[in-house]
Amino acid sequence: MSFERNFLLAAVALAALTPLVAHNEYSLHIGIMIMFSVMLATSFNLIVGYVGEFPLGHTAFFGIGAYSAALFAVRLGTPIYFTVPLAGIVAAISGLAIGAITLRLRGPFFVIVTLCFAEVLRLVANNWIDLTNGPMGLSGIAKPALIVGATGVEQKLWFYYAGLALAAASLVVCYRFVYSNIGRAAVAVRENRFVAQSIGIWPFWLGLVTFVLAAAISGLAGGFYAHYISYVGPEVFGFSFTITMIIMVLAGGKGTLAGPVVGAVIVVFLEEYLRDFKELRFSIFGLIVIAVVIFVPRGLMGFVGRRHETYQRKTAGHEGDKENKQERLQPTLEPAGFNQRGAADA
Amino acid sequence: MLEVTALSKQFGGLTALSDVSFTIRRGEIMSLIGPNGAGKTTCLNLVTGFLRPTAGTVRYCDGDITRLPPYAAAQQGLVRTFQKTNVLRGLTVFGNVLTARYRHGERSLWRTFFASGRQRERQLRDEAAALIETVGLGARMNTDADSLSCGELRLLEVAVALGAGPRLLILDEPAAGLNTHEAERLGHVLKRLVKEHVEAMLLVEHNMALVMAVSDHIVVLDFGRKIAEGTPLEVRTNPDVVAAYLGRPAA
Repeated sequence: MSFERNFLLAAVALAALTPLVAHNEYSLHIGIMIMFSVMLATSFNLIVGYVGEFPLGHTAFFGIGAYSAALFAVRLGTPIYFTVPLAGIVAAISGLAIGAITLRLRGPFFVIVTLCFAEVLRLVANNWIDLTNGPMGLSGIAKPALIVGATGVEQKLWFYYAGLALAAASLVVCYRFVYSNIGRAAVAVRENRFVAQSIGIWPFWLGLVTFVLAAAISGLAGGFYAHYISYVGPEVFGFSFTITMIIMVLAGGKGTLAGPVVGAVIVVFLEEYLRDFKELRFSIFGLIVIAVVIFVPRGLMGFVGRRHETYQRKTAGHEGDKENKQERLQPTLEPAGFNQRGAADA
Repeated sequence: MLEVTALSKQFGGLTALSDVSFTIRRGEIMSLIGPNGAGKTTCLNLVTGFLRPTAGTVRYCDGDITRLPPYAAAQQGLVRTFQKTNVLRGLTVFGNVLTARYRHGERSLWRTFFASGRQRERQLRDEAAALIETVGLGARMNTDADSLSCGELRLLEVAVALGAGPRLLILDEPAAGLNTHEAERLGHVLKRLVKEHVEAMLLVEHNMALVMAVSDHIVVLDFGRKIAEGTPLEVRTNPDVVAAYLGRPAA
């Protein structure tokens, strides 16, 4: 628990200081892609790691966020400070609707139905030309008024810190969720549905809460992406975004908060460094992913994945009554006086 | 406290349980026994909502819970364990029981995200630890559930069920796979629980020594029907029960 918290705090601090040394457009662009990827991976991980299902159509929420932000900005001229939160809200509402349907399914059925939702949305984006401009997409999404006319580096710097703020906020929300009573219950559902129900946990409700949270974070990432790239087309519903999310989460370690962050950083850097290999790039990428799955199946941060709740006993006399303390002193396997009492009871 | 009336369950053409009625009163341990396939586990699944009965009603604390889903029944204090040992294997002993305190922890989404629940959380942790001490697993507090022995797993299962704050605790074969000594230890724990932690207990069990030692009241099932009911002594000497277990003497 404290390892993850310290790790994430250190990562945010490091990210906040990075522009001091990497003060050029290219580095900042990579940084922005990392922030954006961290949000996507964190969102995907909530469902893989805490609901225990595999949402192959998770890009649906990213796309919904991107399109909502783009539509608000292009059609209504809404500024970025409103479009990005709105993107998150619209995605959360869609998450509620889609989750309410798909979370009644499990395993392969869940996978296929979520995938179908993403595909349906892609077709809608492609064909509802009046609204979405079809395959041409929506372009010219405004940058914030604050940085219009600023230099390239300054613009990138603004997006970098905006991305960092959004990513950090997402992580804080996830952290609070995962390390709460409700988060523990979500893990219980993932570990064993029957036990979870027998102790009064409603699996569907918890799944829905997690699903909506994940959708909202994806939507925020989508809104941010739309404004940064300033163009949104139907490919935001494409499978390639989902694949990127899967790789980041598996490489980093599912079911941990630090894992997706590490995974996002690695994947973005790999994608950049492997550009030198041109056509071979994706093959090498694939081989690296295979190697990770074989050699570190729980991900690079898999070692923090196991929830190791411990209880430190307080000093004697601080808690409990005398009777309790007496019991505690008895050795576990041989309760003193057991036989006499047992015989008396029989 | 629990009143089961004319409960029946058919799986297609197979009648797993027919017309079974019994009552559990406050403060007692009732055992449900019978040969393999008699319908004991089916009966538990019906009572706790994991299965829906074909006919009959289950009343619990003056409310009809016949068609309630399992989590809702559990929220009213009707908590069960499972025949095949079921705990959250990836967690520690403490983690398991802490998770089981879910019902007593912060369940409001708003406060989960926007309020500091530190004090309540600390209280939850202390309660969980105390429950682990109660079942005698104090020394294994921070051990992974994976590495417990069979007997310890059974105790952990009881602690997890207790964590949910049951009023009526339902245990499905808690002594399965335990040696004589471990079973005795379990019986001791169960008797103490009814005095201190739960209002009543329903036990399904094959270990007759344990059943006879702890039960106030026994219901015997055979082929889905109730064939006898009474105190341990009455049941033990009932010719129908003896016949169900051992067969009738050749005429």
